[in-house]
Amino acid sequence: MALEKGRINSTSLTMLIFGFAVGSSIIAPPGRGAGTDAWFAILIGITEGLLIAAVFLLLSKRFPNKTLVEISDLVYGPYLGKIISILFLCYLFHLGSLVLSDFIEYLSSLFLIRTPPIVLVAAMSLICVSAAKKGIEVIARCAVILVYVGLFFYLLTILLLLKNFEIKYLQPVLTIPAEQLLWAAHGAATFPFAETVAFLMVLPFLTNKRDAVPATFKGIIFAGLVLTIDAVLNIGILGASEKVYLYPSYYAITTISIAEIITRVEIVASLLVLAYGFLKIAVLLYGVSLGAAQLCSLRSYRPLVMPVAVLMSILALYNFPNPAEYIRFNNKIYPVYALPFQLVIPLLTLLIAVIKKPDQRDVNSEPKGRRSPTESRRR
Amino acid sequence: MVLLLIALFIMIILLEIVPLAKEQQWKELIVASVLLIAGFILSMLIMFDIDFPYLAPVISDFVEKWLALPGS
Repeated sequence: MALEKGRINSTSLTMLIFGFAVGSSIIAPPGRGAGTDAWFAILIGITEGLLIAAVFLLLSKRFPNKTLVEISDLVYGPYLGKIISILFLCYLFHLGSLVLSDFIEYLSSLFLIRTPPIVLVAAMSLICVSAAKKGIEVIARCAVILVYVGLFFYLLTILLLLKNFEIKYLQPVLTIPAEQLLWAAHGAATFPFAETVAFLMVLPFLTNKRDAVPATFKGIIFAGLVLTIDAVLNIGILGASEKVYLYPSYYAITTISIAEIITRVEIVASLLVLAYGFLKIAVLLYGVSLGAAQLCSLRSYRPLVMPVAVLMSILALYNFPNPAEYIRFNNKIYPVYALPFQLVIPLLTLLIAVIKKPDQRDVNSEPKGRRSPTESRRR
Repeated sequence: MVLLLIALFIMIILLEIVPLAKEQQWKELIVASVLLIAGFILSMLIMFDIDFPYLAPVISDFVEKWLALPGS
């Protein structure tokens, strides 16, 4: 019996990847280490992100019906495979808690100042639990709706912001050292584009497996362009002071004031950002629960969603002691910390799979899981 | 707040764990219970102000120390 019966089409996957990649990156924009050249760093980051995505997509193409947990079992054997799977799931789990932390910090420092963080984290987690329990098909359908609504408001915000935009803030272009630019670009690649490696837990449920590559690439490029425009707007509106803000996109939007009637648009923008964050956390929660269920050979991943969410929420409260640590971790540490999970594990698995050539019957079989008692009796 | 948290966990047990016992899904029940117990213990420790090390600084120090990042 398959642990997941839902199927998603390529459009849903593109939207899901778009929402996932934009997710928390719109509140903490990538490539900021490059200063006014952040937009260029993001463009280079998209290229690196696509290369990393190509690796996990090749792996997925080789094992079209398998998640990374099942692939590891086939490629490395039952023991080493389980260790690799646990490492990967720990990364997804930690990533989920980091995204939750981002949103809790964002909400509690700008809007809900007197609300205890534990209440915010519980509210956000419960919505994600509800979506993750319904399965990948429901998350993907949510993505389609939320991305279209989000894009409409995003375009509206751009139009409203153009009045405050100053091209001179973007000049001179490319003045920072190449090393600094490339480091910022690498940072942009690892957060958020290469984080789409989490979709190794989702790609087996794509209706038409041939669409995986174009749908993933489209999602990453689309998200990259939105983040690039966001970076250009932030710098063009806030100028050099952009780098002192923890949430530059938020402060850029606060400048919108049309005849003092249309103001406080940042609330609407933040709600949409929150919606994208929901998509990202839901996908990660789903991935961790499904992976853990496959690891323990369970019949269903659903009983694990709530306990995993509880643990993720607790970790979210214990990620960063202060904003300085948050900036240090995001700018300096995360690009190194994430690379083994985003690139090394998929690349190593792909190389070993090419050399080892596992049995084709195992490769093409449907995802494993214990049979339910009723199904066993029927057989 | 502690009572609220205990109530929340009781609700989770009633909604998540009890149906598993009814359906005799013992393996699922054990895994879910272990994770939930871990969550309960951790949240109780937090409620009683037990100081945990924050995760990000631990990872940051590890990465800086062992990989000798530039500027560390």
